[in-house]
Amino acid sequence: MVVEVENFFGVYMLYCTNPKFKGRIYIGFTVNPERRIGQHNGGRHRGGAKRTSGRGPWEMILIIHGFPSDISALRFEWAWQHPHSSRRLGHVSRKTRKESSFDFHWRVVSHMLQVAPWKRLPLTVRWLRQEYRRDFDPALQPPLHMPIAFGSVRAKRNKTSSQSEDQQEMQADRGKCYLCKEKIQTPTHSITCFLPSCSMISHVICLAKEFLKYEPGHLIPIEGNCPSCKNQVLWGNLIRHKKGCYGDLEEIASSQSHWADDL
Amino acid sequence: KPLTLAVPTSVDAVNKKSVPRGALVPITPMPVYAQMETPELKAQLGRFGVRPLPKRQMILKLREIHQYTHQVVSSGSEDEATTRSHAPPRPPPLGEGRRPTSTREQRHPETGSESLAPSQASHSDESSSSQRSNPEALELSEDDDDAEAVPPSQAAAREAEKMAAVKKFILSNPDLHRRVLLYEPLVLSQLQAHLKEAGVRLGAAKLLDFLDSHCITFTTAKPHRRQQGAKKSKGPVPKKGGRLVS
Repeated sequence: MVVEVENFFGVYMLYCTNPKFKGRIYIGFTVNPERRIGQHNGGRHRGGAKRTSGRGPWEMILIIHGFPSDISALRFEWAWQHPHSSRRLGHVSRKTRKESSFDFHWRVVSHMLQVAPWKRLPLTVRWLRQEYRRDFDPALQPPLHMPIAFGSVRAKRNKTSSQSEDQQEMQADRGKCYLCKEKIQTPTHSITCFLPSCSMISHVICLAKEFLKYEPGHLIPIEGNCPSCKNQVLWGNLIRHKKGCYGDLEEIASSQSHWADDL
Repeated sequence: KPLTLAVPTSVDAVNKKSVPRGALVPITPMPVYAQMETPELKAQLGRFGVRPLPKRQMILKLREIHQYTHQVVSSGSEDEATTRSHAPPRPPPLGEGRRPTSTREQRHPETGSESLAPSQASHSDESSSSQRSNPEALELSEDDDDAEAVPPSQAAAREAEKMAAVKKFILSNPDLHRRVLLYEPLVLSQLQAHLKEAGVRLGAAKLLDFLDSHCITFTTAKPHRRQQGAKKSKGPVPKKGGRLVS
Protein backbone atom coordinates (compact mmCIF):
# COMPACT_ATOMS: atom_id res chain seq x y z
CA MET A 1 0.00 0.00 0.00
CA VAL A 2 1.04 3.51 -0.61
CA VAL A 3 1.37 5.33 2.62
CA GLU A 4 -1.00 8.11 3.40
CA VAL A 5 0.60 10.99 5.15
CA GLU A 6 -0.69 14.22 6.48
CA ASN A 7 0.89 17.49 5.59
CA PHE A 8 2.21 16.68 2.16
CA PHE A 9 0.78 19.16 -0.31
CA GLY A 10 2.18 19.32 -3.79
CA VAL A 11 1.32 20.84 -7.13
CA TYR A 12 2.63 18.84 -10.05
CA MET A 13 3.06 18.98 -13.78
CA LEU A 14 2.15 16.03 -15.95
CA TYR A 15 3.63 15.57 -19.38
CA CYS A 16 1.84 13.51 -21.97
CA THR A 17 3.97 10.97 -23.78
CA ASN A 18 1.19 9.59 -25.94
CA PRO A 19 2.29 10.34 -29.53
CA LYS A 20 -1.21 11.51 -30.35
CA PHE A 21 -1.22 14.13 -27.64
CA LYS A 22 2.49 14.50 -27.09
CA GLY A 23 3.61 17.50 -25.17
CA ARG A 24 0.34 18.24 -23.47
CA ILE A 25 0.65 19.50 -19.96
CA TYR A 26 -1.61 19.04 -16.99
CA ILE A 27 -1.28 20.89 -13.71
CA GLY A 28 -2.75 19.29 -10.61
CA PHE A 29 -2.71 19.19 -6.84
CA THR A 30 -2.00 16.13 -4.77
CA VAL A 31 -1.34 14.91 -1.27
CA ASN A 32 0.21 11.76 -2.64
CA PRO A 33 2.08 11.95 -5.93
CA GLU A 34 2.57 8.23 -6.32
CA ARG A 35 -1.08 7.45 -5.99
CA ARG A 36 -2.08 10.39 -8.13
CA ILE A 37 -0.04 9.47 -11.20
CA GLY A 38 -1.51 5.98 -11.02
CA GLN A 39 -4.97 7.47 -11.01
CA HIS A 40 -4.23 9.69 -13.99
CA ASN A 41 -2.90 6.78 -16.00
CA GLY A 42 -5.63 4.46 -14.80
CA GLY A 43 -8.27 6.64 -16.41
CA ARG A 44 -11.39 8.26 -15.19
CA HIS A 45 -12.90 5.19 -13.57
CA ARG A 46 -9.83 4.86 -11.41
CA GLY A 47 -9.87 8.38 -10.18
CA GLY A 48 -8.02 10.09 -12.99
CA ALA A 49 -9.11 13.52 -14.10
CA LYS A 50 -11.40 13.74 -17.08
CA ARG A 51 -8.87 15.68 -19.07
CA THR A 52 -6.14 13.14 -18.64
CA SER A 53 -8.33 10.11 -19.02
CA GLY A 54 -7.70 8.08 -22.14
CA ARG A 55 -4.85 10.31 -23.24
CA GLY A 56 -2.10 8.66 -21.32
CA PRO A 57 0.45 7.64 -20.59
CA TRP A 58 1.33 10.69 -18.55
CA GLU A 59 4.52 11.28 -16.70
CA MET A 60 4.71 13.31 -13.55
CA ILE A 61 7.80 15.32 -14.24
CA LEU A 62 7.83 18.20 -11.80
CA ILE A 63 6.32 18.88 -8.42
CA ILE A 64 6.42 21.92 -6.18
CA HIS A 65 5.95 20.79 -2.60
CA GLY A 66 6.30 22.05 0.92
CA PHE A 67 3.07 24.03 0.99
CA PRO A 68 1.98 24.50 4.56
CA SER A 69 -1.65 23.69 3.83
CA ASP A 70 -3.99 22.41 1.17
CA ILE A 71 -5.44 25.88 0.87
CA SER A 72 -2.07 27.29 0.04
CA ALA A 73 -1.29 24.57 -2.48
CA LEU A 74 -4.69 24.80 -4.14
CA ARG A 75 -4.28 28.48 -4.70
CA PHE A 76 -0.87 27.85 -6.24
CA GLU A 77 -2.43 25.26 -8.50
CA TRP A 78 -5.17 27.64 -9.54
CA ALA A 79 -2.76 30.42 -10.38
CA TRP A 80 -0.49 28.08 -12.33
CA GLN A 81 -3.48 26.96 -14.34
CA HIS A 82 -4.85 30.48 -14.80
CA PRO A 83 -1.83 32.79 -14.87
CA HIS A 84 -3.64 35.43 -16.85
CA SER A 85 -6.48 35.62 -14.38
CA SER A 86 -4.35 35.62 -11.25
CA ARG A 87 -3.94 38.98 -9.63
CA ARG A 88 -0.34 38.12 -8.78
CA LEU A 89 0.78 37.23 -12.28
CA GLY A 90 -0.30 40.20 -14.35
CA HIS A 91 3.27 40.63 -15.53
CA VAL A 92 3.51 37.17 -17.05
CA SER A 93 3.04 37.41 -20.78
CA ARG A 94 1.00 34.97 -22.74
CA LYS A 95 2.34 31.88 -24.35
CA THR A 96 4.15 32.67 -27.54
CA ARG A 97 3.62 30.66 -30.64
CA LYS A 98 7.10 29.28 -30.57
CA GLU A 99 6.86 28.28 -26.96
CA SER A 100 5.85 24.75 -26.10
CA SER A 101 3.21 24.22 -23.49
CA PHE A 102 5.90 22.79 -21.25
CA ASP A 103 8.13 25.84 -21.67
CA PHE A 104 5.24 28.16 -21.04
CA HIS A 105 4.21 26.44 -17.83
CA TRP A 106 7.82 26.39 -16.73
CA ARG A 107 8.04 30.11 -17.32
CA VAL A 108 4.83 30.69 -15.39
CA VAL A 109 5.96 28.69 -12.38
CA SER A 110 9.35 30.40 -12.43
CA HIS A 111 7.57 33.71 -12.08
CA MET A 112 5.29 32.36 -9.40
CA LEU A 113 8.16 31.41 -7.14
CA GLN A 114 9.42 34.96 -7.32
CA VAL A 115 6.28 36.76 -6.25
CA ALA A 116 4.09 36.99 -3.21
CA PRO A 117 2.29 35.10 -1.80
CA TRP A 118 4.62 32.23 -2.67
CA LYS A 119 8.14 33.65 -2.59
CA ARG A 120 8.54 33.27 1.16
CA LEU A 121 7.00 29.82 1.51
CA PRO A 122 9.21 26.85 2.37
CA LEU A 123 8.84 25.25 -1.05
CA THR A 124 10.93 22.72 -2.88
CA VAL A 125 11.16 22.49 -6.65
CA ARG A 126 11.52 18.84 -7.52
CA TRP A 127 12.17 17.27 -10.88
CA LEU A 128 10.66 13.86 -10.56
CA ARG A 129 12.05 12.94 -13.95
CA GLN A 130 15.46 14.32 -14.41
CA GLU A 131 15.44 13.87 -18.18
CA TYR A 132 12.88 16.69 -18.41
CA ARG A 133 14.78 19.06 -16.22
CA ARG A 134 14.89 22.70 -17.26
CA ASP A 135 17.16 25.33 -15.83
CA PHE A 136 15.70 28.50 -14.46
CA ASP A 137 16.10 31.50 -16.69
CA PRO A 138 18.87 33.59 -15.11
CA ALA A 139 16.39 36.41 -14.67
CA LEU A 140 13.89 34.11 -13.00
CA GLN A 141 15.96 32.40 -10.36
CA PRO A 142 13.88 31.14 -7.45
CA PRO A 143 14.50 32.48 -3.95
CA LEU A 144 17.65 31.06 -2.40
CA HIS A 145 15.84 29.21 0.34
CA MET A 146 13.99 26.99 -2.11
CA PRO A 147 15.96 23.88 -2.89
CA ILE A 148 15.90 22.30 -6.32
CA ALA A 149 15.72 18.56 -5.87
CA PHE A 150 15.75 15.55 -8.12
CA GLY A 151 14.09 12.19 -7.98
CA SER A 152 10.83 10.91 -6.68
CA VAL A 153 9.64 11.25 -3.15
CA ARG A 154 7.13 9.42 -1.15
CA ALA A 155 5.53 10.97 1.85
CA LYS A 156 6.01 8.56 4.70
CA ARG A 157 4.35 8.49 8.01
CA ASN A 158 6.70 9.72 10.63
CA LYS A 159 6.63 7.09 13.32
CA THR A 160 8.23 9.26 15.89
CA SER A 161 5.98 12.22 15.43
CA SER A 162 3.66 11.54 18.34
CA GLN A 163 6.63 10.61 20.45
CA SER A 164 8.44 13.79 19.70
CA GLU A 165 5.34 15.71 20.55
CA ASP A 166 5.30 14.04 23.94
CA GLN A 167 8.92 14.90 24.38
CA GLN A 168 8.20 18.41 23.37
CA GLU A 169 5.43 18.57 25.86
CA MET A 170 7.66 17.34 28.64
CA GLN A 171 10.39 19.73 27.70
CA ALA A 172 7.93 22.53 27.43
CA ASP A 173 6.54 21.78 30.85
CA ARG A 174 9.88 22.37 32.38
CA GLY A 175 11.03 24.73 29.73
CA LYS A 176 12.06 28.28 29.83
CA CYS A 177 12.32 30.20 26.63
CA TYR A 178 15.91 30.27 25.43
CA LEU A 179 15.42 33.85 24.33
CA CYS A 180 13.22 35.70 26.82
CA LYS A 181 13.94 33.30 29.72
CA GLU A 182 10.28 33.31 30.68
CA LYS A 183 8.44 30.07 31.37
CA ILE A 184 6.69 28.50 28.39
CA GLN A 185 3.10 28.04 29.45
CA THR A 186 1.96 25.42 26.99
CA PRO A 187 3.62 23.34 24.27
CA THR A 188 1.56 25.09 21.63
CA HIS A 189 3.60 28.21 22.37
CA SER A 190 6.94 26.50 22.01
CA ILE A 191 9.27 25.71 19.17
CA THR A 192 12.39 23.58 19.28
CA CYS A 193 15.44 23.20 17.08
CA PHE A 194 15.21 20.01 15.07
CA LEU A 195 18.90 19.29 14.95
CA PRO A 196 19.54 16.20 17.06
CA SER A 197 22.42 17.73 18.93
CA CYS A 198 20.48 20.84 19.88
CA SER A 199 17.96 21.24 22.65
CA MET A 200 17.01 24.83 22.08
CA ILE A 201 13.43 25.59 23.05
CA SER A 202 11.75 28.96 22.86
CA HIS A 203 8.50 30.73 22.34
CA VAL A 204 7.36 30.61 18.73
CA ILE A 205 6.96 34.36 18.79
CA CYS A 206 10.36 35.03 20.39
CA LEU A 207 12.19 32.94 17.81
CA ALA A 208 10.31 34.56 14.96
CA LYS A 209 11.37 37.96 16.24
CA GLU A 210 14.95 36.79 16.50
CA PHE A 211 14.89 35.49 12.92
CA LEU A 212 13.31 38.68 11.63
CA LYS A 213 15.99 40.91 13.11
CA TYR A 214 17.31 41.71 9.67
CA GLU A 215 14.00 41.99 7.89
CA PRO A 216 11.74 43.66 10.43
CA GLY A 217 9.16 44.52 7.82
CA HIS A 218 8.04 40.93 7.58
CA LEU A 219 5.83 38.79 9.76
CA ILE A 220 6.90 35.25 8.90
CA PRO A 221 10.61 34.48 8.81
CA ILE A 222 12.19 32.50 6.02
CA GLU A 223 15.22 31.29 7.89
CA GLY A 224 17.64 32.13 10.63
CA ASN A 225 20.38 30.81 12.85
CA CYS A 226 19.34 28.77 15.83
CA PRO A 227 20.29 30.93 18.82
CA SER A 228 21.75 27.91 20.58
CA CYS A 229 23.53 25.72 18.01
CA LYS A 230 23.96 28.56 15.51
CA ASN A 231 23.04 26.38 12.56
CA GLN A 232 21.05 27.98 9.84
CA VAL A 233 17.56 26.54 9.76
CA LEU A 234 14.50 27.18 7.65
CA TRP A 235 11.48 28.47 9.50
CA GLY A 236 9.34 26.12 7.45
CA ASN A 237 11.34 23.15 8.70
CA LEU A 238 11.02 24.26 12.31
CA ILE A 239 7.27 24.42 11.88
CA ARG A 240 7.21 21.02 10.18
CA HIS A 241 9.22 19.69 13.07
CA LYS A 242 6.80 21.22 15.51
CA LYS A 243 3.89 19.61 13.73
CA GLY A 244 5.66 16.27 13.75
CA CYS A 245 6.14 15.99 10.04
CA TYR A 246 9.71 17.08 9.54
CA GLY A 247 11.74 14.66 7.47
CA ASP A 248 8.74 12.62 6.48
CA LEU A 249 9.83 12.47 2.87
CA GLU A 250 11.55 9.39 1.63
CA GLU A 251 13.61 9.55 -1.51
CA ILE A 252 12.74 6.86 -4.01
CA ALA A 253 15.13 5.69 -6.67
CA SER A 254 12.49 5.51 -9.34
CA SER A 255 8.84 6.14 -8.84
CA GLN A 256 7.94 3.67 -11.55
CA SER A 257 9.52 0.64 -9.98
CA HIS A 258 8.21 1.55 -6.58
CA TRP A 259 4.75 2.09 -7.88
CA ALA A 260 4.88 -1.44 -9.27
CA ASP A 261 6.25 -2.84 -6.04
CA ASP A 262 3.37 -1.40 -4.18
CA LEU A 263 0.77 -3.25 -6.20
CA LYS B 1 -19.95 32.53 -44.77
CA PRO B 2 -20.11 35.63 -46.90
CA LEU B 3 -18.20 38.46 -45.43
CA THR B 4 -19.75 41.86 -45.10
CA LEU B 5 -17.01 44.37 -45.26
CA ALA B 6 -16.69 46.43 -42.19
CA VAL B 7 -16.60 49.91 -43.59
CA PRO B 8 -18.57 52.53 -41.74
CA THR B 9 -20.76 54.44 -44.11
CA SER B 10 -22.90 56.83 -42.18
CA VAL B 11 -24.52 57.22 -38.85
CA ASP B 12 -27.80 56.25 -40.44
CA ALA B 13 -26.58 52.75 -40.56
CA VAL B 14 -27.13 52.39 -36.87
CA ASN B 15 -29.95 50.24 -35.84
CA LYS B 16 -31.38 52.05 -32.91
CA LYS B 17 -34.25 49.78 -32.09
CA SER B 18 -33.02 47.19 -29.68
CA VAL B 19 -30.23 49.10 -28.10
CA PRO B 20 -30.55 50.65 -24.68
CA ARG B 21 -30.31 54.38 -24.78
CA GLY B 22 -26.91 55.71 -24.10
CA ALA B 23 -25.03 52.50 -24.77
CA LEU B 24 -22.11 52.63 -27.13
CA VAL B 25 -22.70 50.37 -30.08
CA PRO B 26 -20.42 49.71 -32.98
CA ILE B 27 -21.80 51.10 -36.18
CA THR B 28 -20.55 48.13 -38.08
CA PRO B 29 -20.22 44.86 -36.26
CA MET B 30 -16.80 43.30 -36.21
CA PRO B 31 -16.48 40.38 -38.62
CA VAL B 32 -15.85 37.06 -36.93
CA TYR B 33 -12.19 36.92 -37.79
CA ALA B 34 -11.64 33.82 -35.71
CA GLN B 35 -13.75 31.82 -38.12
CA MET B 36 -12.07 32.99 -41.28
CA GLU B 37 -9.73 30.86 -43.30
CA THR B 38 -6.14 31.88 -43.64
CA PRO B 39 -6.34 33.16 -47.25
CA GLU B 40 -9.27 35.32 -46.31
CA LEU B 41 -7.40 36.72 -43.35
CA LYS B 42 -4.44 37.49 -45.57
CA ALA B 43 -6.69 39.34 -47.98
CA GLN B 44 -8.25 41.32 -45.16
CA LEU B 45 -4.87 42.36 -43.83
CA GLY B 46 -3.70 43.15 -47.32
CA ARG B 47 -6.32 45.86 -47.49
CA PHE B 48 -4.43 47.68 -44.79
CA GLY B 49 -1.07 46.98 -46.28
CA VAL B 50 -0.10 44.46 -43.65
CA ARG B 51 1.90 41.50 -44.82
CA PRO B 52 0.69 37.98 -44.01
CA LEU B 53 1.31 36.83 -40.46
CA PRO B 54 0.68 33.62 -38.57
CA LYS B 55 -3.03 32.98 -38.39
CA ARG B 56 -3.60 33.83 -34.77
CA GLN B 57 -1.66 37.04 -35.04
CA MET B 58 -3.63 37.99 -38.11
CA ILE B 59 -6.85 37.58 -36.19
CA LEU B 60 -5.59 39.70 -33.35
CA LYS B 61 -4.21 42.33 -35.68
CA LEU B 62 -7.46 42.55 -37.59
CA ARG B 63 -9.41 43.00 -34.39
CA GLU B 64 -7.05 45.73 -33.33
CA ILE B 65 -7.39 47.46 -36.66
CA HIS B 66 -11.11 47.15 -36.46
CA GLN B 67 -11.20 48.77 -33.08
CA TYR B 68 -9.14 51.68 -34.23
CA THR B 69 -10.88 52.22 -37.52
CA HIS B 70 -14.48 51.88 -36.56
CA GLN B 71 -16.76 54.24 -34.87
CA VAL B 72 -19.17 53.68 -32.12
CA VAL B 73 -22.19 55.78 -31.60
CA SER B 74 -24.06 56.54 -28.47
CA SER B 75 -27.42 55.09 -29.32
CA GLY B 76 -29.13 57.60 -27.09
CA SER B 77 -28.47 60.60 -29.25
CA GLU B 78 -28.84 61.28 -32.90
CA ASP B 79 -26.31 63.92 -33.66
CA GLU B 80 -22.96 63.46 -35.27
CA ALA B 81 -21.18 64.93 -32.28
CA THR B 82 -21.55 61.88 -30.12
CA THR B 83 -20.06 59.64 -32.70
CA ARG B 84 -16.54 58.95 -31.73
CA SER B 85 -13.74 56.67 -32.32
CA HIS B 86 -13.97 53.44 -30.49
CA ALA B 87 -11.44 53.37 -27.75
CA PRO B 88 -10.19 49.83 -27.33
CA PRO B 89 -12.06 48.40 -24.38
CA ARG B 90 -8.96 46.82 -22.93
CA PRO B 91 -5.28 46.48 -23.67
CA PRO B 92 -4.72 44.88 -27.05
CA PRO B 93 -5.00 41.12 -26.84
CA LEU B 94 -1.30 40.59 -27.14
CA GLY B 95 -0.48 43.20 -24.56
CA GLU B 96 1.61 42.11 -21.69
CA GLY B 97 0.47 44.66 -19.21
CA ARG B 98 -1.49 43.93 -16.11
CA ARG B 99 -5.16 43.85 -16.59
CA PRO B 100 -7.17 45.88 -14.16
CA THR B 101 -8.25 43.64 -11.35
CA SER B 102 -11.80 44.81 -11.44
CA THR B 103 -12.38 43.39 -14.87
CA ARG B 104 -10.89 40.05 -14.11
CA GLU B 105 -14.16 38.29 -13.73
CA GLN B 106 -15.88 39.86 -16.65
CA ARG B 107 -15.82 38.17 -19.96
CA HIS B 108 -15.31 40.60 -22.74
CA PRO B 109 -17.53 39.89 -25.66
CA GLU B 110 -14.52 39.23 -27.80
CA THR B 111 -12.79 36.87 -25.47
CA GLY B 112 -15.99 35.06 -24.91
CA SER B 113 -16.17 34.04 -28.51
CA GLU B 114 -12.48 33.84 -28.92
CA SER B 115 -11.63 30.25 -29.42
CA LEU B 116 -8.04 31.18 -29.90
CA ALA B 117 -7.17 33.09 -26.79
CA PRO B 118 -3.62 31.89 -26.67
CA SER B 119 -2.81 29.49 -23.91
CA GLN B 120 -6.13 29.96 -22.21
CA ALA B 121 -7.53 27.63 -24.79
CA SER B 122 -4.89 25.03 -24.25
CA HIS B 123 -5.39 25.50 -20.56
CA SER B 124 -9.03 24.92 -20.21
CA ASP B 125 -8.36 21.95 -22.36
CA GLU B 126 -5.86 20.44 -20.08
CA SER B 127 -6.63 21.49 -16.62
CA SER B 128 -9.17 20.21 -14.24
CA SER B 129 -9.94 23.51 -12.78
CA SER B 130 -12.91 24.64 -14.72
CA GLN B 131 -15.24 23.47 -12.02
CA ARG B 132 -13.27 25.01 -9.25
CA SER B 133 -13.71 28.55 -8.24
CA ASN B 134 -11.11 31.21 -8.18
CA PRO B 135 -9.47 31.24 -4.77
CA GLU B 136 -8.41 34.80 -5.36
CA ALA B 137 -11.95 35.96 -5.94
CA LEU B 138 -13.69 38.08 -3.38
CA GLU B 139 -17.23 38.85 -2.71
CA LEU B 140 -16.72 42.48 -3.18
CA SER B 141 -18.55 43.84 -0.26
CA GLU B 142 -15.90 46.51 -0.24
CA ASP B 143 -16.22 47.75 3.23
CA ASP B 144 -13.97 50.53 2.34
CA ASP B 145 -13.28 53.52 4.36
CA ASP B 146 -12.20 56.67 2.69
CA ALA B 147 -15.47 58.04 1.53
CA GLU B 148 -14.26 61.59 1.11
CA ALA B 149 -11.97 62.36 -1.73
CA VAL B 150 -8.36 62.52 -0.67
CA PRO B 151 -5.42 63.69 -2.73
CA PRO B 152 -3.37 60.75 -4.03
CA SER B 153 -0.37 61.52 -1.90
CA GLN B 154 -2.46 61.49 1.24
CA ALA B 155 -4.28 58.40 0.11
CA ALA B 156 -0.99 56.56 -0.23
CA ALA B 157 0.11 57.67 3.20
CA ARG B 158 -3.19 56.59 4.66
CA GLU B 159 -2.81 53.28 2.92
CA ALA B 160 0.59 52.71 4.43
CA GLU B 161 -0.74 53.69 7.82
CA LYS B 162 -3.47 51.11 7.50
CA MET B 163 -1.10 48.38 6.50
CA ALA B 164 0.98 49.20 9.52
CA ALA B 165 -2.14 49.05 11.66
CA VAL B 166 -2.99 45.58 10.37
CA LYS B 167 0.51 44.41 11.11
CA LYS B 168 0.35 45.90 14.56
CA PHE B 169 -2.98 44.22 15.15
CA ILE B 170 -1.54 40.83 14.30
CA LEU B 171 1.55 41.39 16.44
CA SER B 172 -0.54 42.48 19.39
CA ASN B 173 -2.71 39.41 19.30
CA PRO B 174 -0.53 36.44 20.35
CA ASP B 175 -2.96 33.74 19.26
CA LEU B 176 -3.40 35.25 15.85
CA HIS B 177 0.30 35.95 15.59
CA ARG B 178 1.14 32.33 16.37
CA ARG B 179 -1.36 31.09 13.82
CA VAL B 180 0.33 33.22 11.21
CA LEU B 181 3.76 31.95 12.24
CA LEU B 182 2.56 28.36 12.04
CA TYR B 183 1.22 29.01 8.53
CA GLU B 184 -2.34 28.30 9.57
CA PRO B 185 -4.77 29.79 7.06
CA LEU B 186 -6.72 32.80 8.24
CA VAL B 187 -10.34 33.32 7.37
CA LEU B 188 -10.40 36.58 5.52
CA SER B 189 -13.87 37.68 6.56
CA GLN B 190 -13.17 36.93 10.21
CA LEU B 191 -9.95 38.85 10.21
CA GLN B 192 -11.65 41.74 8.53
CA ALA B 193 -14.37 41.73 11.19
CA HIS B 194 -11.84 41.61 14.02
CA LEU B 195 -9.93 44.46 12.50
CA LYS B 196 -13.08 46.46 12.26
CA GLU B 197 -13.76 45.89 15.94
CA ALA B 198 -10.28 47.16 16.61
CA GLY B 199 -11.04 50.25 14.60
CA VAL B 200 -9.13 49.32 11.45
CA ARG B 201 -11.51 49.52 8.54
CA LEU B 202 -10.10 47.97 5.45
CA GLY B 203 -11.55 46.66 2.23
CA ALA B 204 -11.23 42.95 1.54
CA ALA B 205 -9.07 43.56 -1.50
CA LYS B 206 -6.62 45.69 0.47
CA LEU B 207 -6.50 43.15 3.23
CA LEU B 208 -5.86 40.43 0.70
CA ASP B 209 -2.99 42.44 -0.74
CA PHE B 210 -1.54 42.82 2.71
CA LEU B 211 -1.75 39.10 3.49
CA ASP B 212 -0.30 38.22 0.11
CA SER B 213 2.61 40.56 0.51
CA HIS B 214 3.48 38.79 3.75
CA CYS B 215 2.84 35.36 2.23
CA ILE B 216 0.15 34.69 4.82
CA THR B 217 -2.28 32.01 3.73
CA PHE B 218 -5.92 32.87 3.96
CA THR B 219 -9.18 31.45 2.79
CA THR B 220 -12.18 33.29 1.52
CA ALA B 221 -14.32 30.37 2.57
CA LYS B 222 -16.68 30.44 5.47
CA PRO B 223 -15.21 29.38 8.80
CA HIS B 224 -14.04 25.81 8.82
CA ARG B 225 -16.57 23.12 8.33
CA ARG B 226 -14.12 20.52 9.49
CA GLN B 227 -11.57 20.79 12.23
CA GLN B 228 -8.16 21.56 10.87
CA GLY B 229 -6.29 18.31 10.71
CA ALA B 230 -8.45 16.60 13.28
CA LYS B 231 -10.27 14.14 11.06
CA LYS B 232 -7.76 14.03 8.29
CA SER B 233 -6.15 10.74 9.21
CA LYS B 234 -9.38 8.88 8.66
CA GLY B 235 -9.36 7.55 5.15
CA PRO B 236 -7.78 9.33 2.24
CA VAL B 237 -7.72 13.05 2.32
CA PRO B 238 -10.22 14.33 -0.22
CA LYS B 239 -8.17 15.30 -3.18
CA LYS B 240 -9.99 18.40 -4.10
CA GLY B 241 -12.58 20.03 -2.04
CA GLY B 242 -14.87 22.95 -2.19
CA ARG B 243 -13.05 24.55 0.67
CA LEU B 244 -12.23 27.59 -1.31
CA VAL B 245 -15.66 28.33 -2.56
CA SER B 246 -16.48 31.80 -1.54
